[in-house]
Amino acid sequence: MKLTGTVVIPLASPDDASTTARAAAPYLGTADKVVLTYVVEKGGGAPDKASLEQMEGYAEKVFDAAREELADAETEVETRVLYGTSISKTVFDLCDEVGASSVALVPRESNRLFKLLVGDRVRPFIEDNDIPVVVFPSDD
Amino acid sequence: MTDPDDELAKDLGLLSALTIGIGTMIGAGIFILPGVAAREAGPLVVVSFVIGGGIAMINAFAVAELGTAMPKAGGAYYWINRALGPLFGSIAGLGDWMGLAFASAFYCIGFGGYLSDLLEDVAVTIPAVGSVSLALPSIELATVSLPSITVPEVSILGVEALGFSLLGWSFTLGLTDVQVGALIAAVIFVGINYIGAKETGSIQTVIVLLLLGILTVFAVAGFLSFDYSLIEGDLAPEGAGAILPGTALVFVAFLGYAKIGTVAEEMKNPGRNLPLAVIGSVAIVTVIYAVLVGIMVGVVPWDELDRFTPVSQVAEIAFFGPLAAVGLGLVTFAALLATASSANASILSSARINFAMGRDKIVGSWLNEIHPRFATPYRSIAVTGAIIFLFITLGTVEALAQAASVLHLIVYALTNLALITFRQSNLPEYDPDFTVPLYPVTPILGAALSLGLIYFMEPQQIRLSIYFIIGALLWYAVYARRHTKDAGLLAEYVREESDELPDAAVSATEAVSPDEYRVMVPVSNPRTERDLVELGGAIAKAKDGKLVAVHVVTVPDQTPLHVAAESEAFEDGDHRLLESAREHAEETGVPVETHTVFSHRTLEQVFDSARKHEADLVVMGWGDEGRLSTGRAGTVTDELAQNLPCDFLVFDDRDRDASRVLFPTAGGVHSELGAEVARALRDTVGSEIRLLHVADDPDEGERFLEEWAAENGLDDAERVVVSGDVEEAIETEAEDASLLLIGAVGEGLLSRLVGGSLVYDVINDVDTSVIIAEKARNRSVLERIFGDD
Repeated sequence: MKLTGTVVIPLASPDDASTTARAAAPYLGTADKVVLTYVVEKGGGAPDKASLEQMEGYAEKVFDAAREELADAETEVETRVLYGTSISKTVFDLCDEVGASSVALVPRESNRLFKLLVGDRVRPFIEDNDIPVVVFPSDD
Repeated sequence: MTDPDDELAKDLGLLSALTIGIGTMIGAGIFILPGVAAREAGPLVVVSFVIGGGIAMINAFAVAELGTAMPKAGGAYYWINRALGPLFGSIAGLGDWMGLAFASAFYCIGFGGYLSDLLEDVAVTIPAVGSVSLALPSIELATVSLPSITVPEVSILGVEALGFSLLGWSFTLGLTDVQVGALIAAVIFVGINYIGAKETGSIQTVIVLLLLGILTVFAVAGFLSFDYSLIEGDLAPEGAGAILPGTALVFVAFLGYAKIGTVAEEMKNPGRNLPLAVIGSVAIVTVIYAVLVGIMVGVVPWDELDRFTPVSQVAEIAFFGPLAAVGLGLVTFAALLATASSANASILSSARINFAMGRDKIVGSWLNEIHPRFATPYRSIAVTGAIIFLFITLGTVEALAQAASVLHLIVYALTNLALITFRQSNLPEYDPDFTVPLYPVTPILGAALSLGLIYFMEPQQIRLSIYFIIGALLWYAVYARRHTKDAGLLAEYVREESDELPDAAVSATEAVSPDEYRVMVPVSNPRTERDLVELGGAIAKAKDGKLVAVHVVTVPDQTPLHVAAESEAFEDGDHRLLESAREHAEETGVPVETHTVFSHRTLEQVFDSARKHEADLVVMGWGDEGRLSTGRAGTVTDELAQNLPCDFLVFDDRDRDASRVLFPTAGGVHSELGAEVARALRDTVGSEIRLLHVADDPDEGERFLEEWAAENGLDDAERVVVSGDVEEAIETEAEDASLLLIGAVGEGLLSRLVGGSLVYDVINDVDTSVIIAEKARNRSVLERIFGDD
């Protein structure tokens, strides 16, 4: 299977970025463009969990980790820092904006406690999607 | 960087910002302090609150101005560091951080008080076990008596800093039920911030509006039970002199408005919303405090108000009949909510301050790592949490309140001074949307009142603040000074004006400024100026440092220096020379500053200037300062030349470029300096470096040179090992080189140069340009901190 058109890849942390980029790389040969994105979760009127500037710096680290894995890919790679109260909705808005043909992600290992504490991050992607979402297996 | 148009990134509106300010402040003022403060000041405690609000308001103006000029994470710390430099930045950052930790501990104690009150009478019936009381336990571990050790009295500026009994009391190691409740609260609040439980703006707003609603009901009920006889007669039983100590105690209730500044970067339209939120929240809480505390001392006699849960106590009287239980429940609920929101906001903003300090490298980046799962600054929150736990177990409610206030007041005073610095420096990019009224009266008053209020604190807290400042200074000297870069506006100002300011002020500023590598180039000869500046610039660039061009104008002995400084005869060459030095330095792409000094003794003046401007390296022309002084060789003593103020490079320019460098070495500190120069030339102008080592045993020589080159980062240089006479070898090898770079042998190069007895005759026999490197003896850490005098 190969991905075509523009592929949006949401990333959550430097480790997640490495894992996801590594898993996605073999499938990206025929894609026109890959858009890596990090969503800074906003409170919508409450102060954020961390300083904006701090999160923007963090997003750069996340992108660097992914770029390292995608260094050999011939596809054009673009990065976008986004802000939103809902991560999945923000990512799908981006898909509309860039005319993406698919979203690709690797679910992170999680457990009930994590899901209870921070919410299930993957489920909204595969329940509320209006374009194809490709879930790669993680190699680690 | 944030895109200024990104509406989604900046989502704090006016109401959100106001509720952050009000939500943080109101927890303390109403629910915790009235009891403690009324016992201190009597019914006039209302005046204490109003004065506190006034002081807060004057400081709020400064926060509003600086916040609209620089809406950056970190707030007060950021502004102070930017204006006054990292020395004060360290005090402000650590002060704000610890102040918030003290305040958080204080809010947690407040929460713990109401929690233990609530649980006291609650028992749960569990089948098989029976009735279980939920009342929080007191934990008594041990009673400890410490021996008495008296520290001798030391009087500093008339303030007795020490001179108290250091140890020598006995206390019970253990926790009260209130402290147990406070620790539970701290675990919850720290935990919420650690995992970053999702908050939405509406929750914060709802909490604050709910609080205001409950307080209104409470105020009305209280007003109806108001008993005038309680405040008739003596309004100031503790004397009017107790009002200001009362203010000192309750000032902690106003530590919320500045927190709006720490989240300024997230605000929509900060130019309008920030001043409104900061000033508005102070105005609103001051009115609420005045009204509610006024009512409370009219319901319960001032000397009987509860130390931990005054509001519950008043509510028990104010709500009577069938309303009693409901009223008490509502008020307890409000108290828990209010103290929780205060603690939560404080923990959150302490992470912002840590981040801003990390950005300037005043703390390590370890502290500000983001959690890969929770996307929170988890280490910063955990460290702050640990400090809060410690404070809860050690402090009483009064001590925590005052400790928080003292540290915040220091920060507020510095904030006002930062504002004055920004205004006076006329920076074009300093363009606040809001400006303080009546400048400069307002910021001067703000600084004076903030420091003045500290005077009314308990001696223990004043001592604490002195120790804290000493601690912050040590932190700066030992850690921050080595890492941080930006010197701050004030230091820049002093440096720029250094020709007019007294030497002591300049040296002091240089001594406390961050360790920036400074290359000083004395220029006096138009022929050599360009080469010296380019060489100095190359090294400054390699070291990420700064170039200081100093024009030493030699004045005949009979002309007084101040006359020379004003005389046009000495002025003309000077301007052109420095201007062209500045241009050449800018071409190399390093920051530059220029100075002119008038002196009778050129070489001594170079040494003095090197000390005054804290140069790390002086790049000097050979025929220039050296030979000028030769005529007065008697004045250059060996002692002077052997105590180099910094590293020296002496450059004899013979119109040859630096493309092929020959660098003979036999090791030693001076050669290490030479290696730094070689690396800088290699990296900035692409010089080819050839290392030469003269040894009797070629194999051993080869091994030595290979190792030495690797240690000095020159492993890519060509290596030549020959045996025989050193000077002859240099001469032969120099034939196809354009520059000879050579380390001094032993100390005192300059005295020999000046005295005419050269280290190597070879220097006269080669036709390359020559650089001689001499390293200064290492200055100790103490000398670095306190200057060299």
